[in-house]
Amino acid sequence: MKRKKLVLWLLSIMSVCLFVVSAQAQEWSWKKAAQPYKGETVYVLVNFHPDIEATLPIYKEFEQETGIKVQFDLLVRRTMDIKAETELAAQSGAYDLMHIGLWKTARYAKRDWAEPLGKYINDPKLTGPDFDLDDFVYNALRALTDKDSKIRGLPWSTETGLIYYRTDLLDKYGIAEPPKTFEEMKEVCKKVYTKDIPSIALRSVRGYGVNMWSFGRYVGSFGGSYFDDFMRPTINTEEWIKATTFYAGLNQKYGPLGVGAYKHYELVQDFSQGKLVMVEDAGPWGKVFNDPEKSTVVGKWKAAVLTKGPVKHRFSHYTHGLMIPRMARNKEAAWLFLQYMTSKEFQLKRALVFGGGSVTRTTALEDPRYKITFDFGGWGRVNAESLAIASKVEDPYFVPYYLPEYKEIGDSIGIALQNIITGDQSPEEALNSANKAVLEILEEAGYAGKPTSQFRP
Amino acid sequence: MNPNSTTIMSEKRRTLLMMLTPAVVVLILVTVFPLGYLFWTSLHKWEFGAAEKVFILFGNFVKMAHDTRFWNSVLLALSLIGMAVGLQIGIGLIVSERLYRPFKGKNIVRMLLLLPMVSPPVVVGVMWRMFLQPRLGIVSYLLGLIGVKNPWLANPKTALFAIAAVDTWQWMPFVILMLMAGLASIPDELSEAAQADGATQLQIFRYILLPLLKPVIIITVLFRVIDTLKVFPKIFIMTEGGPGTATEIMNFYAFRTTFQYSRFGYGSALSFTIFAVCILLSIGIMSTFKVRSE
Repeated sequence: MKRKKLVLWLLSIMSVCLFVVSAQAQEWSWKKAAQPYKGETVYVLVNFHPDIEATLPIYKEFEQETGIKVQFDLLVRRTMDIKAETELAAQSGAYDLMHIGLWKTARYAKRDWAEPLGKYINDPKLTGPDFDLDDFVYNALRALTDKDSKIRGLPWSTETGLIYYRTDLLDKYGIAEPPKTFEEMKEVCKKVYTKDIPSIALRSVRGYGVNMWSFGRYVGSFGGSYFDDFMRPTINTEEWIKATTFYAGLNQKYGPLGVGAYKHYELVQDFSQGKLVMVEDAGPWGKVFNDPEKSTVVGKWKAAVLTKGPVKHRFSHYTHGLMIPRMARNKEAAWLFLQYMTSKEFQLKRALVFGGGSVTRTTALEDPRYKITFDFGGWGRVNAESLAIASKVEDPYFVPYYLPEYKEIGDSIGIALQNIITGDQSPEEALNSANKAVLEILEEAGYAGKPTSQFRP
Repeated sequence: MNPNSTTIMSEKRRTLLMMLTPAVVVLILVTVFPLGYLFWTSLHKWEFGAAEKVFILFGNFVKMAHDTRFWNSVLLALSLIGMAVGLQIGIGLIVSERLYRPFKGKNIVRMLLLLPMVSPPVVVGVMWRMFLQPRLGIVSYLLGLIGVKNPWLANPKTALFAIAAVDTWQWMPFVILMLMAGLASIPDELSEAAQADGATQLQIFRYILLPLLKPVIIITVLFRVIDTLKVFPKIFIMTEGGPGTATEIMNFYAFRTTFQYSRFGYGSALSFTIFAVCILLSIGIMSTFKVRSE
């Protein structure tokens, strides 16, 4: 009997030990996951951005926890784009993480230069149980997913366009609410315009990521499209003429002198210096407008959802992400840092502590602390609302970002748009030239004549 | 022939070759090889996303011949050269004629003249972009006081002129210094003799100094033409080739094609063409004015 009891006790103790050991084996931690890669350095090529500025003070915690060093190479966006494409074309392997965005996904997927992340996401040794892919803001992840549904990058910042408007100036003219439609926008601009403080400014400088970023949604809002059913451009149709006339008209009639050379820097500068009543531009600028060191309009502005067009409600959108180049040397370490930087905890901390509010995690957007922190000008609420509306729209981006040649296509149309804004060409003339240029690009790429459906994701 | 003299000649030749070889090797490495590779690349279709380069012989050059945007960029480059070099030489001649004579504070003036020239082109671009900002720029403000209100960089009719003006601001000191050096090399007795005969300053300048300055002017024009053809930071920062394509000169178009559209083959063809244009312009300028090296 005594022996029997002893055996039972021993078995119990062994079971408990086995359970503890197995529980410990299953418990995932950054330290444990990073153990094989301790001492490696992850080289990151990324652009200057308010959300990266908010990342820099806190990424060292990753280094401390994992023993993996991270080296950022920060460049201005255009310069970074050039450097990135040169490095990729040369297949140098100099970087382990590189910037990827909405109109880079198709380009990088075409040559398989961005590692599909599925194998890392599904690896329990490398990916924590809290990773939760479904928690990413829908359009943010979609922007970095190719047409074969392979995730090519993870998003660290996502934005739609917002309208920023001066509450004091609208009050002065008896306007209770910001404009909700194109027609209302025109009416408000007409009412509030003065030479000293013009009504509005929209991006004008040519470029797929400059004026096309703001303008792209206007085409869809008027019911236009880029291509017919067989990849032939339809850029000189009635809808396009209406869209460009409307966009250019706002700038020409109600914009500041010299608006034809305005990029987002000038828009942000003018609005934050109190020189504009309204501006339509990217979400992250809310942080700038609320910063007393950079803005004279703190407490005098609010944000609003983008206006609805006569046919559809379309949004400007961009997602910034990071991808692992196929020729990267430290892929697993890179994945760990990428996972860390886009995790729920990090995104929320970045937002709450350092103001990097263009988060890509739904739990962060819905966190009560986030809502309180980003309540300035109603920014947090409007930003979340815009992202939510955009996620339900079938084609929220409304530029053909899925074509690797989008940069050149966007630039060709951007030139036409700037020519229209400056009055150098009529809409018909400019759009005919753009249509011809885009057709040449499509023909050279071998797309013209093929079903458009095979290109769209 | 004396066999000893043959040996001496061979030895001299060998010594000469040995002394020239390092320079030739460096020249080949930094000039001939890159140019050769550039030309080789221009004979291929090579674009981002392509698995390999495809040899198409002169296909890119044929494409260039039909590319309206390329011809626009050539026209703009020639216009920019005409405006910028014309301004620099014209104003430079007047200013140098005044400055080369002795006056109080001459050294301080010469020092101040150097400041634009030694400023980095990027700084010049940023500075003038701010100066010409229609609402906040100091130059726009001052011009506004005399009734000139124009968004210089946003107006397709004035953007290229604005670039030429900024280039003139930066490089006119170089022209002035070159011309002053040329003037200083002309003996004073010639001017004095003309003055004694009753010639005015303008006549002295026109009939005596200017002809003697011709070789210096030609060299200065040559330098400035080639430099203007290469101007890049100012355009990149001030206008990015816009508005539209109003300031998209040849090298900027080549840059966009290569690094933004990632068409490396066609971009190489454009770049090689720019190089060829530089050579042709140099030969053209030198032979037009029949300058002979001593």
